[in-house]
Amino acid sequence: MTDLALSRTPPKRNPHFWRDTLRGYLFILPVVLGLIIWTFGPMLASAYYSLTDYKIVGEPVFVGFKNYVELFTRDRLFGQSLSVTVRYAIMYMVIGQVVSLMIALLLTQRVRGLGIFRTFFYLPIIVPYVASAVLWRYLLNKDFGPINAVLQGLGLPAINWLGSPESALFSMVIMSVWTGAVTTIIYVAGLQHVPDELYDAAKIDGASGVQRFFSVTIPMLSPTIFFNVVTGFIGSFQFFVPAFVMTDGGPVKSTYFYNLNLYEKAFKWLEMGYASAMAWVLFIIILVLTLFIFRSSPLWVYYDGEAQS
Amino acid sequence: MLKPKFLILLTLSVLVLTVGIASAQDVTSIRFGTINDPAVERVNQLLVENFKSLHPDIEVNVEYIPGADLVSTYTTQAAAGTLPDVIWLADLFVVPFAQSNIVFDMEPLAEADANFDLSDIYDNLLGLSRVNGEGLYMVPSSYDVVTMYYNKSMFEAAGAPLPTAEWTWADYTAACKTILEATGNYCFANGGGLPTFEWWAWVVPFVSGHGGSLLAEDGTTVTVNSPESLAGFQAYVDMWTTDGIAQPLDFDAGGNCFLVGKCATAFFIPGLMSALRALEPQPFEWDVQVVPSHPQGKFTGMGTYGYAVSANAQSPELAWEFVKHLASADAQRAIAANYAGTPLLRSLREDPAIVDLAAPPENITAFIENGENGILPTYFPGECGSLYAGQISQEIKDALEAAILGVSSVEDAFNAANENIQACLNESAG
Repeated sequence: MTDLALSRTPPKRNPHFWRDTLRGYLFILPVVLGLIIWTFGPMLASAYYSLTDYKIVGEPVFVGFKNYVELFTRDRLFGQSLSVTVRYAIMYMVIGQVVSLMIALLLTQRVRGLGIFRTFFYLPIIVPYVASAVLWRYLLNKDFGPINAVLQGLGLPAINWLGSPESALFSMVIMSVWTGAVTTIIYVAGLQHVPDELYDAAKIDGASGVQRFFSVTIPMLSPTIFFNVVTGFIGSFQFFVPAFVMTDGGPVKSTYFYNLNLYEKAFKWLEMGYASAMAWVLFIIILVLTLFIFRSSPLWVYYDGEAQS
Repeated sequence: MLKPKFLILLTLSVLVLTVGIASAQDVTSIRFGTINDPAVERVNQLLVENFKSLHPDIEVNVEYIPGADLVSTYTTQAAAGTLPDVIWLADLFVVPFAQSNIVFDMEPLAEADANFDLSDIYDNLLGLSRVNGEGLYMVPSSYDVVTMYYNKSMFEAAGAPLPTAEWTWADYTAACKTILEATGNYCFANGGGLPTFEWWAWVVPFVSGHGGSLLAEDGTTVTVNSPESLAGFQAYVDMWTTDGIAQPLDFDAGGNCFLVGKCATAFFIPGLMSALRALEPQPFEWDVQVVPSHPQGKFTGMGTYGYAVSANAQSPELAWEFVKHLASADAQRAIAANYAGTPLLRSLREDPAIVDLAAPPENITAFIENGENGILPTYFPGECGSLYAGQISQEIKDALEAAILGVSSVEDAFNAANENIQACLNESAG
C-alpha cells in the first residue's frame, strides 16, 4: 500500500539539479577536452593534411586528392604493404582465435594449480612489446635460436624463420599469438559464463563432448568471439612494433606492414601529407571491415535471451 | 579610489619587473642540440669548453636528442622556429636539412673569417657538407673515408696473405675464400652495428669502380641499369651469392661481426678504431689498409658527422664561433688522439702527433692515404629522395636485397629500379 502510494507521487525536481549537472560536466570536462584537443583535433588536421603536400617544415600546399590518386595508382609499396597486412590479419585471426580458445578451454578445466597456469599464460601481456619482439628475434634466430635447437634435436631441419621471405610473415603470426593473452583471458571469462545446466541438459540428451562444444559452447560464446574478432582485426591492421624491431619489413618486403610503410613515409621521408592520406585509407578500411563484421553478426552471434524477445 | 599605499606598491612592482626583464635580456646564452651518443660526447665537450673559454659570460645549454628522434625533433623545431643555435648532424642529413631550411649556409661566415681556412679541408670531404657542390651546411668532424679494417690474427691463422695497398678485389676475394674454408668465418661484415648491405658508401664505389654511375652527366637520366653499373652491382652482390664471403643478411653474429671476431674485415670510417681499442684485453690483432682496387681503380665512400649553425640561430656569428672550432688544429688533434677520427686538415697530414699515435693500428696513415679514393654520394634532383632516404634509396635497397637473396637477377632487379626512379624524376621535373 505504502509502495503503491509512493510510486504514484510525481517525482520532485532535484533542487540541486543544475548544480549537480554542472558538477557532472566539470568532472568529465578534462576527458572531453582531451578528446577534442588530442584526438578529434589531430584527426581533422590529418584529414586536411592528407589533401596537401606537407613536409612539416614550410606551409602545406593544397593538392586536392593527388595523394590518394598516387596511393592507388603509382605507389607499389602501398599495394605490397596492404597485401602483407591482409595476409597477416587472416592468418592471425584464424590461428590466433583457435589457439586462444583452445588455451582458454584448458584454463577453465578444474585442475590443481589452475591459478599458476593462468598466470603463466597471462605473463606475455606484462612484457613490453619491444622486449617481446627482441626476445622472439632471439628465439627464432636461424643459427642459435632455441626453437631451431629443439627442431634439430628432434631430427628436423632448422628453419630460417625471419630470414626467409616464405616464413617471416608466419613467424610474426606465431609471435602475435604468444602475445595475444588478452584474447585468451576474454575467452576464459566468456567460458565461465556458459551455464552448467546447458551442458547437463546436453549430456542427458546424449551429446558427446564434441557435440557439446559445437552446440553449446560455441553458440554461447559467440558474443565473445564476435568481440575478439572485431578487436583482433582492428589490431591486426595496426600491427607495427614487431615488424619494426624484428625485420624492418624484410626480407624482400615480406613483412612490410601497412603501418611500417606509413611510419617510413611520415618520419623517414617526411611526407606528412602523403602519410596522412595513408592513415585515412587505413581508417576507412578498418571502418568498412568492422561494419561488415557487425552487419554479419546476426547470422552467427547468439545473444542469451534474444529468442524470447 | 585606489589607496596611495597600493599605488606605490604597484609602481614598485612594475619597476622591479621591468628591471628584471631588462637584465634577463642582457644574459646571452647559446643552445646546442646534439645526439645522446658516447661516441660524440668527447667532441661535444671540446666545443663547449672552447666556447666557454672564449665567452665565459655566455651560457651554453646542451640539449640531448635521442639519435632515432633527430629528424623529427629538428623538423618540428624548425616548423616552430625553435631550433637550437647550433645542431649536430651527419652527412646524410645535409641535403634534406639544407632544403628544409633547418641549417644555415655557413660559407659566407667561413669566407669572412680570417681565422678559418676552408681550403685547408680536403675537398672531397667538404663535398659531404655541400648541396650539389654549393654552400657549407656542416663543419665535418673528421676525414671519415671508408677504409678496410682487418683481423690480422684470423688472416694469419687461415694462412691467407695480409692485405696490401696494391690489392685488387680479386685478391680480397681469394684471401676471404681461404679464410672461409679454414675457419668458417665470413669476410665482409655488415649489419649488427655496422651499416646494412645497402649503404651507398659500399655499393656506389663498386659501380664507379666498374665504370658505371647512378645518374648520367645530364643529371636527369638514371643509369643504374647501364652495363657498367650492372657489372658493379653484380660484383658487389657476388660477395654473397657466388663467393659466399659476405656476412649473410640473416646471420646474427651477436653484435658487430668484425668486433666479435666472426668476420675477417670491416669497411668503415676511422671512428671504429676507438671501439676496437676499447676491447680489453684485445681479442685479436688488427690493422687497417686502403681499399682494394676495382677494374677502374680505387673507389670508396665517405660518411661523417659534424655541426652546423641552425636557421633559427639568434646570432649566427656567435654560433659560427662555436662550430668552427671543430675544424681547428687543436680540436682535430684531440679527436685523433682519442682515435675518434682522422684530421680533416691538409696541414696536419704529416703531423707527428697523429702519424706517431700508438698502435694499433700500425698503418694509421692508411686512413689519410685512402682519402683520395673517397667519392661523394650521387646527388639526385627533385623530390625523389637521395641515396640515404626516400624512394631512390628504397628502390636501390629493394633491388640489392632481391639480388642478394636470389629472388631476382641483378639485371631484372635494377631494370625495375631504373624504371621506377626515372618515372619519379620525370614526374618531379614536371
